[in-house]
Amino acid sequence: MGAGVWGWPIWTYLWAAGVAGGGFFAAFLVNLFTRNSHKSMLRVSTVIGVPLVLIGTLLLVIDLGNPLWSWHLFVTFLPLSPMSVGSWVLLLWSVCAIVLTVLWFAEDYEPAKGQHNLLSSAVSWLRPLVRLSGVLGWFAFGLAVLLISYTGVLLTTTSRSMWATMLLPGLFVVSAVATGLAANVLAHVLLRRKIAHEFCRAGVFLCVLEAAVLIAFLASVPSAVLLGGPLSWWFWIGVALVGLLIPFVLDAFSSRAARIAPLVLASTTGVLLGGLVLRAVIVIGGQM
Amino acid sequence: MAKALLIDTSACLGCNACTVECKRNNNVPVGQKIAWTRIEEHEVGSYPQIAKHFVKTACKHCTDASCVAVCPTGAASKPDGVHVVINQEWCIGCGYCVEACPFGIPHFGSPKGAAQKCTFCATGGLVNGQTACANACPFGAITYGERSELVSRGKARVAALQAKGVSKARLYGEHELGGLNVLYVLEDQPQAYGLPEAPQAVTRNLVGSWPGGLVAAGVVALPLWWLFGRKEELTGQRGEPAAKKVKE
Repeated sequence: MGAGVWGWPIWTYLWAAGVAGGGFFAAFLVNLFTRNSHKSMLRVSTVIGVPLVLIGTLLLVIDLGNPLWSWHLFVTFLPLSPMSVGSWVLLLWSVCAIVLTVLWFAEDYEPAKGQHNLLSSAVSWLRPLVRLSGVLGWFAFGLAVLLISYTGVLLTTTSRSMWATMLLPGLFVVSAVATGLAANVLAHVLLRRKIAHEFCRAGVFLCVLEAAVLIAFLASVPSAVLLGGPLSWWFWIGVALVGLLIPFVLDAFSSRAARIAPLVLASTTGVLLGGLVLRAVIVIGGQM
Repeated sequence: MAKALLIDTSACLGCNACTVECKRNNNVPVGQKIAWTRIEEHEVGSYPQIAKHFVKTACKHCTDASCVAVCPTGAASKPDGVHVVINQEWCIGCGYCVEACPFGIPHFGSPKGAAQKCTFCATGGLVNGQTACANACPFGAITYGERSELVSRGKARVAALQAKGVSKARLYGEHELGGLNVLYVLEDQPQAYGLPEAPQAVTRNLVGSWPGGLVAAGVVALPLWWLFGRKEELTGQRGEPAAKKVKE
């Protein structure tokens, strides 16, 4: 195999797409399971996710050899090419998430009495469309599942031996949901909103699940470069300690604590950083 | 009938005439780290049993071409149904073919631009009825011809080498990846030439990897249901769950 060509724009993008898709996935399910009582988290997830995906996509485009020809992706659909599928999923999810954000804004917006301006007339025009947000939400949820899956499938469908396992898409999906939920919760903490203890417990579960899939992944591929090679410091400190062990301990502690905001702030930041380092060491290590 | 090349590594002295003639014929840019064909040197064994192998390294024009399968724009394709060409006017330079090729063949120049590799002289045209590299080789190490004839010729050459005591001699590419259109007569194991023993088409990974992601999405939904949905069912509450427990 030749030298790798996928550098920091790629692994940063993989992380950003994971946070965006995983955040929407987690918020949608939590809102669904609690019968619409976590609407605010769903709204926050698109407000975080859309800019992240747009920045990530910009990084991808800049990294292309011919950036101005990136539109060539959208005049064809090749189902055997994960990048072709992923490009369409990314585009459609972004459009859905933007439309949903606008519809939710229209749903929530309350103009002051007697106020008539461009915004209020736009909102009154959009109001009848708000009932479409339910169907659109399900569509975006399906796309989010594909979005968080494809980032792993993309790497799996190469000739790099470290990436050639179905456990890699699994690992990226679990990491995407963990980082996405962490981003949602972190945003709530920063906005000084209340956080239920269930989210800390979810963090504990996700850390354990991710650790289990990570161990299975490392055992099934040539992973010496991560465990004891040039990337081992990044792996052990960035992924294992900052991304998994510390958030696990903090979440386990905060799921019973009275004052949880500082703990949640630290654990979610750790999960987000760990997810970024995980993408980095796998993309870099796989090409070594 | 499919035209192919037979590379006889036992006759290659690594003179790079093929490299130079390929560049001239196909107008491959100079000074941009681009080489549609190049000579790789591989040293094997340990003193005093050592050998240095030269191997002409370029696109093998696989029947099951991974680059064609994964290319997201269709820029990598087989216009004549056999030989793989990357359309320089359509390639966006994403690097997927670089990562997918089992032989590590497609590459970028500097500046990056479109992915680069051999076009079987579709770009510059044949020279004296054969590819530029075959025309240039002064040692007869590169033969251009019908694939079926080259397979027979390669097997005969392997038999001759084995009769001379080169026990590991073998023909590489007859069946690999559905049949390569660049075949190799090797005097040693493929690894000694930087070639994979059993190259695989990357699309085989699709079968497990999409379900791998989807199953993981289902599994990761379970703790969320257990924490949020199950509690909701047990208490029958509406509104913010566990509202009494909310702190901070």
